[in-house]
Amino acid sequence: MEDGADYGGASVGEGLWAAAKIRDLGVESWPDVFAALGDHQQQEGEQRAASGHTRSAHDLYLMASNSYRAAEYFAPIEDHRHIQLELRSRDAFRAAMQLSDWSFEPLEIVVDDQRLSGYCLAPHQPRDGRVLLAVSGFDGTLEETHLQVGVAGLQRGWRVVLISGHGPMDTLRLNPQTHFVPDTERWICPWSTWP
Amino acid sequence: MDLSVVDMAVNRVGVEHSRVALLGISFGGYFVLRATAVDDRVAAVVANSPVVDLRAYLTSFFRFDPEQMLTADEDFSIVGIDTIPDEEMPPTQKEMARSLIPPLRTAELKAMSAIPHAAMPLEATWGATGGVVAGAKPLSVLGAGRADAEATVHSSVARTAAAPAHRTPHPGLARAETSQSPPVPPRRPLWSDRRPTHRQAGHRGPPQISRRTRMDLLSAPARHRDPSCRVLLSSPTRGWQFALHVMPGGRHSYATALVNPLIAGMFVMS
Repeated sequence: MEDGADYGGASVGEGLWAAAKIRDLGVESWPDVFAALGDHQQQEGEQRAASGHTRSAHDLYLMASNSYRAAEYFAPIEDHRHIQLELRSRDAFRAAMQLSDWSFEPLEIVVDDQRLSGYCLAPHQPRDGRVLLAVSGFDGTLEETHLQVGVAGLQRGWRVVLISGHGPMDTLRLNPQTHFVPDTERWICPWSTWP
Repeated sequence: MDLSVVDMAVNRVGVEHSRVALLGISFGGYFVLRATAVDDRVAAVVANSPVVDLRAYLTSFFRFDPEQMLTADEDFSIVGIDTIPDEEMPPTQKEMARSLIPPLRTAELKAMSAIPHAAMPLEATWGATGGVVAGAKPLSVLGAGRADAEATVHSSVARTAAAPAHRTPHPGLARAETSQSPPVPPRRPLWSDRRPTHRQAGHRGPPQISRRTRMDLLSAPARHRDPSCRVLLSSPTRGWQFALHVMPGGRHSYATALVNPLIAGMFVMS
């Protein structure tokens, strides 16, 4: 939550509310509590958007994305909610980016017959020609990585390309049989390829 | 593979090809170091709390290395997990076991022994290099790595003056290439130090994980931020050497990479 709060993914008060709720209901309630928080933020965001308050809608969609991510994080892999929460997090994130200060474009490449997802983000006035390709690890997501380092880069004038490869959940969403590979340059180098 | 999307995206945003940085978090630190070793177009790399011992990382979920701690008779399969009472193996631990046992779910836990200790087939050595390679030419030093520095700044990586690929590889690498079974790098005492004790006949499983133990697990990867934690990597294709110095502090916590059961079906070491 720390990174999320700093870069718009959460509010400290709601985080503490969720923590108290989970403490009361037991750790098994983690996915439910954060999913409910995400639903609330998503609905609030939709209301703001309908009223034309795009900035507030953006903020709420971004928090909803992060709350759904938090819910999914401790949802068991075989729980049917897992993929639902994943996709809600992704959809809320994309809704937020459409209303954000950044130029935003979803990317997809195919490596070894697997569809790999990415996002290309840029400030409207980039500082210079620099670009940061950022990737999470074992079980991160593109959306979470945006909150961890993407926003920080954009705020400092960097273009940011968030990438994923074989194995992690961003790829699992689209390729149920995906698995990590030891030679990770297989999929990183295509992302960083340029003419 | 279809590269046109990225080519288009990168070109459209006006990127200077000499100004591309790679950043990877946690396991992603491993991803990007490996890619940087074979792709000299990357101008800067940030390995944020990288995983440098793959098996130690994975077995840390379980507190002990199944290869060392379980005999073949004590091993259990994904099906056997359900026969273990919750008092002996809490549900969260069972979930981790289900996740860690490879995806075909016919193998047993000891199959993890197929996972190499070194994060890369490139030579990786703990604590033996004494830091940045002497005379190294900085690849890029992104910040000072202070705990209060910017979010993207935790590590600095230096690369030797770009040596052509045909130059003599790092001695450690040459040693690894000439041996069928490369020497396992020396590693610090890890999770394998503790022998499971709560095992009953017919219900074979790991020790019960208490709340305290889980906290230990959460804090254990802090070793990656130990200022003495250094790794030397040699690239077989470029003839480069990397000295990786993981800086202390930083805001990224390994807790974000832990206890998630989403490992199932994803991990096959070929």
